[in-house]
Amino acid sequence: MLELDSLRRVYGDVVALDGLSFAVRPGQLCGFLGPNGSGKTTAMRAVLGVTRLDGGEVRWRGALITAQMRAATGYLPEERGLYAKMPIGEQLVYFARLHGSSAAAAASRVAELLDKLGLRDRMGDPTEKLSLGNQQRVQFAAALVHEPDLLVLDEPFSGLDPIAVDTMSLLLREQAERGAAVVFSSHQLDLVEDLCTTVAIVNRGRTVLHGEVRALKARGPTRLRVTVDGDDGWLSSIPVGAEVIGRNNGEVTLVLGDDVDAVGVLQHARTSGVVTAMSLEQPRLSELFRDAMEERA
Amino acid sequence: MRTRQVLLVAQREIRQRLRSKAFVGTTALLAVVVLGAAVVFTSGVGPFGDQGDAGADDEVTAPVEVAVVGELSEPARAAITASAGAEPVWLEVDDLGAARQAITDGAAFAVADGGRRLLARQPSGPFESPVPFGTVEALGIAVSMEAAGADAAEVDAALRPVAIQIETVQTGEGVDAETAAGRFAVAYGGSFALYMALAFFTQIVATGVIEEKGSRVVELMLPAVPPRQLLGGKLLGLGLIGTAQMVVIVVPALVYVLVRQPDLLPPGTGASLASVVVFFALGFALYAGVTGGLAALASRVEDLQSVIMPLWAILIVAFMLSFPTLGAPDSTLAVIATFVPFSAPFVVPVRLALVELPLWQAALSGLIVLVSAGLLTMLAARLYEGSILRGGGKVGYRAAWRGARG
Ligand SMILES: Nc1ncnc2c1ncn2[C@@H]1O[C@H](COP(=O)(O)OP(=O)(O)O)[C@@H](O)[C@H]1O
Ligand SMILES: [Mg+2]
Repeated sequence: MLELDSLRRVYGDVVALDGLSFAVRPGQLCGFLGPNGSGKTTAMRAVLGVTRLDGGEVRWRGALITAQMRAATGYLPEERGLYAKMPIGEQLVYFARLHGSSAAAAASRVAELLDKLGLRDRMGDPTEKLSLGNQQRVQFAAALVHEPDLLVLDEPFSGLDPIAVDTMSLLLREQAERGAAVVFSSHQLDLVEDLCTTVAIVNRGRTVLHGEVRALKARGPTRLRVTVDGDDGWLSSIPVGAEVIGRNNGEVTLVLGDDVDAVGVLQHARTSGVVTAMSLEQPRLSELFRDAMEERA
Repeated sequence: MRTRQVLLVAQREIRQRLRSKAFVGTTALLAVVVLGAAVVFTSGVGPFGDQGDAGADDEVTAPVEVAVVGELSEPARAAITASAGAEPVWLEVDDLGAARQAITDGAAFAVADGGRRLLARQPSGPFESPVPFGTVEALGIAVSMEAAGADAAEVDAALRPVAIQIETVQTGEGVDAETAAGRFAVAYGGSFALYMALAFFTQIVATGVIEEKGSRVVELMLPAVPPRQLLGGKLLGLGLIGTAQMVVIVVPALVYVLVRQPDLLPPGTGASLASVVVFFALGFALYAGVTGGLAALASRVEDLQSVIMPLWAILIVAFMLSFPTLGAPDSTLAVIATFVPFSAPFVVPVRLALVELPLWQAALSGLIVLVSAGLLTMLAARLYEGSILRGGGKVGYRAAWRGARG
């Protein structure tokens, strides 16, 4: 298990990490969310030992993470970088071997990965001859080429087309199924919601929400969407604890507090007309994210 | 520890050079040029063959005119004829003004005051004599013999050259005269090749470091390969390929000379050529290690020149020190330069080629370079570590020194 425990990092008067904590288990895909400047990159770099910490510690399997473990970790840095003039196949073999793979294992793994990424026939081309999207795929491959037990990816999906997003999602899922602990940062909340088992949401260097996606959604306030064929006079007398958060073409969306009964609210709606459509939904991850940010502000 | 990573990094550097058509092409071209020079050298033409005759032939065929102001005795004329190799065309003129005009019009020189005074054309270069070689001495002898009562025939006989055999006594000092030409060729070529190779490979180290930093690929590498190992592997790889390149350039020519004319090579050529290769490796360790550390301070290729400048100044001065050493290989300056780490790589091969440098001096010098290279590279590695991940402008020495793992 990877544990980030009370990480602290200060740059001048900027507190980049202010007690940030969360954990990722083997087999878990953890989405690391937070607005720009909230400390995601700094935290990931601290895990890899690329930046030092002013406080807190990073643990792997219960002990302080070692240089050997860091060397075996798969990493996709926020600022991408590959050797421009080196053929991509040779380059990936090189990275795999630097991370500890044998030459034979590296070669077969590179062939397999490039196959999956649709770059098999580009193997001999230098990075600089590839389109940006394809370079991004190679960068992605560089992180997983040695089949690491821990994968740390900083915004791996930014700048990718939907097809590439699907391919990479699949690859990440495979890694987690293989038993790797995977953490990646992203701003694509819907993607994270579909892909991840757990999320950690941070703001200003602190964790504001952390846990399994399913549990967080179940715990979050329920959404009720109602469409009434009539006026909206009923809205003036809805029960305490229910709050209107949106109206769209006659459809009203309400957030229901823990002790508010949805059926009670519907009864009210019927006083104004016929209820033509209704649904009871768990919150979207994006809504949980927004709520978490507002609580902090 | 982490030898595997260091070797992998070194291997990548070597492969990258071998894949570069420019690198392989340049090496092949240089090998051919050096081999060509060796062919010319052994065939006896060029600067180390006997070039004197070719020049003399030209002068004989040219009609020489000599202006004469006033009286000039037969003995004096005989002296001028003897030193010119043939009777010149005598232009009898009235005064110095006319003599000047004659020279402007093409006369070689003018004689006045009965041979006691010469008026000559301005020489064409700084090392040229204004009058043909030997004229002044011959004229001087003629004038004083005439004063003692000798006639033209006697002067002519006195000035007839007799072949004099010169032998030297080996005192153990200075450059052995018999093998001097070969020794200077080896010394000069060796130090020049060394300078070129060091300048070229330190430049490659600098651009390699800045490329990795600029392309941000280091961030991907560093968790797997710590900064020192990354720099060390790069230096090892480039040092090996550089040494191999020197061998490829020098060996074909050496083998050719050995096969064609083994006695042309001065004694100790093998040792001094080997010292060029050894001191390339040592000099590379010294200069390239520091270059790697300094290069990491820059963030863009444009900043590179300014951060590397201090070291390059040292490299150039050290190379220049090999010139006084070429002139006086046993001078105090040469001895001191042998034991100063920066200049030793240039001076030791030169001294080995020119004089019988005691082996212990060469070995001690090599050791000094090696130890300094180790220490300096460790300091440079710290600068490298403290600056390799810092982008956005030049990193100061202090910030880099303190900020290892910023
Ligand atoms: N090298 C640095 N020097 C100074 N400030 C930095 C540095 N790296 C990050 N920061 C600051 O730390 C905060 C967190 O940044 P970062 O970890 O990049 O956030 P995120 O990845 O979530 O966008 C920001 O305020 C950023 O300006
Ligand atoms: Mg970031």
